Amino acid sequence: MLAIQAVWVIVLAGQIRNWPIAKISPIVCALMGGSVLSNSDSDPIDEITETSEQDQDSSKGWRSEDWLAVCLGLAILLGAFLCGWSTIEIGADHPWKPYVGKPGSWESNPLHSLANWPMLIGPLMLSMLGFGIARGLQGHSAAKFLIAFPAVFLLASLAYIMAGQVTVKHYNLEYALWALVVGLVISNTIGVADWLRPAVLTELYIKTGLVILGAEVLWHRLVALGLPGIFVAWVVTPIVLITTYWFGTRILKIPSRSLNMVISADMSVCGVSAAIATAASCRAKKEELSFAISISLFFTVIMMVAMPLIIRYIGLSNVVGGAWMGGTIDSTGAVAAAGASLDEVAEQTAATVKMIQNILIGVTAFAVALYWVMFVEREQNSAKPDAWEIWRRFPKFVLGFVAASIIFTLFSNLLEGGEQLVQTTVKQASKGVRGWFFCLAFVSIGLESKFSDLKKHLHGGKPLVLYLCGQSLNLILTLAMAYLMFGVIFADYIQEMLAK
Amino acid sequence: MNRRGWKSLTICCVLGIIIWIFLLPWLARQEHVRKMIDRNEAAGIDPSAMFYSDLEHLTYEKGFLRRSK
Repeated sequence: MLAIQAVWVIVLAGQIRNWPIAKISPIVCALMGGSVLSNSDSDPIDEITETSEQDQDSSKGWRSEDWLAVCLGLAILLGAFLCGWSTIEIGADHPWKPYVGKPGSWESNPLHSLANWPMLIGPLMLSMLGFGIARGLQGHSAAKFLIAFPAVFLLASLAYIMAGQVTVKHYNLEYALWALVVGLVISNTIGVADWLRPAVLTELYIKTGLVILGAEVLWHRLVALGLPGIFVAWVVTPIVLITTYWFGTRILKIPSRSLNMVISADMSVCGVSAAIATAASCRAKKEELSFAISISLFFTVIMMVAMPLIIRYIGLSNVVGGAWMGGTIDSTGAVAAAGASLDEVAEQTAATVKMIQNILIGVTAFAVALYWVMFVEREQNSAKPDAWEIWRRFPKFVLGFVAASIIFTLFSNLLEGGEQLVQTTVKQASKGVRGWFFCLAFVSIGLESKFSDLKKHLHGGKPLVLYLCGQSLNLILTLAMAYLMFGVIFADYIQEMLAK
Repeated sequence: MNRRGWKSLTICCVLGIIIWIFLLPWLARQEHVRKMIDRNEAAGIDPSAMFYSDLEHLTYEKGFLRRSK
């Protein structure tokens, strides 16, 4: 019954765009970032975003992809939070927990990963309802979306199952990679059928996922570890990011600034999640995001295995070694695994440094979006943007991402038992949904890409050189700062904190 | 019907099945890989975590991400 009602809601949503509010409120429409004159309709599927497509999308006002992603992301977060607040006691499980999750891990029989199959119901229903309504509001056929979506969801499930095999999982080959592979194999063999295309919605999935990710970016944790953490994560990370970007632009002269930025952020901040956030902020091409993530995952596997051996070989203390790995290995899970191969102290230090870097993606995404609108696009268009132009071009989903982050930080700090409630909401409800949205996005990227497109971004191996040079700088600077802060200046302070 | 495309897709699927059903499980049984898997699983670590909140075994407490007691 609920499913039938949901379908009706989606079908009716297709009519909402014709409601008077959209026609009689041009000021509201304009304030949301749109032109009151233009009402052009486009279906951007070729790139994460091109400037012209961004213009067309923003001209839809509140029905633009960015604002719909913000509304959908915040609605899911609010729903998860209220369900958690109203029905559970502090410390109890979230009511969404049995219905939101991903296929589990397995060793030799993939069917074992589906032991908790009801966990797939929540993401499937939420996606069909939420994105179905969004498609309807955008003026597309919600029915076509509903027909196509289960197939894309099935491909995303396959990617999760592939990533769940224990060898793959423990070498940190994340689902993002397999989702890309699954999509690429289909698009480069039999091609993408027309009936499937209405559910290939890279941008909408990524932006909604990023807004939901905002709830996991809790600002008060930026000061975890105190001054040592600030120096390693706040000082080294921006220096490496800016220097690598400058090196790629000025020395290597990589033609695509967005590719340059995505690789720089991916390498210096926190791997795949930073790459996704930055790519959406600087309107990188899909292939550029795929390329940056592939490089990052490849080197993460090497660093995860090699760094603990190097730390033991050169005799670094586990605290300094943990901070070094936390600041340099791209992927969060790999940081914890590499730290644990030394000891628990190294694992906790590494994971905490990486957590601070994780939280920095909020600042990074906002700063990159602003820089792109004010300087990069300005150079391309040769026109000085005024405040209105900056607002019009600014990717609005970043505001949703920042808003979710601020709201959940406030909930965590101001409400009684807020920290526990936010942790439960995030860990047992919202992060599962966010993971599915990113997985769907990477399947969509694969479905929209051709191997020949990926080749174009090799630029004679320059992106690889950029990654290697940036990572080398990262390794040197982080080691120096970790040694100074964790091994010399604040050594006693860190030991005291660990002993608590 | 795109015959060449279907043929390529079938080859990819067969390759995928061989790798995931035979090769990777065999690798997981090798000593050095098994040791790493067992160590991570004993500590509850998910090495494929994308964000710190995906690390189920760690909870933020007193300035650190600590193992849940």
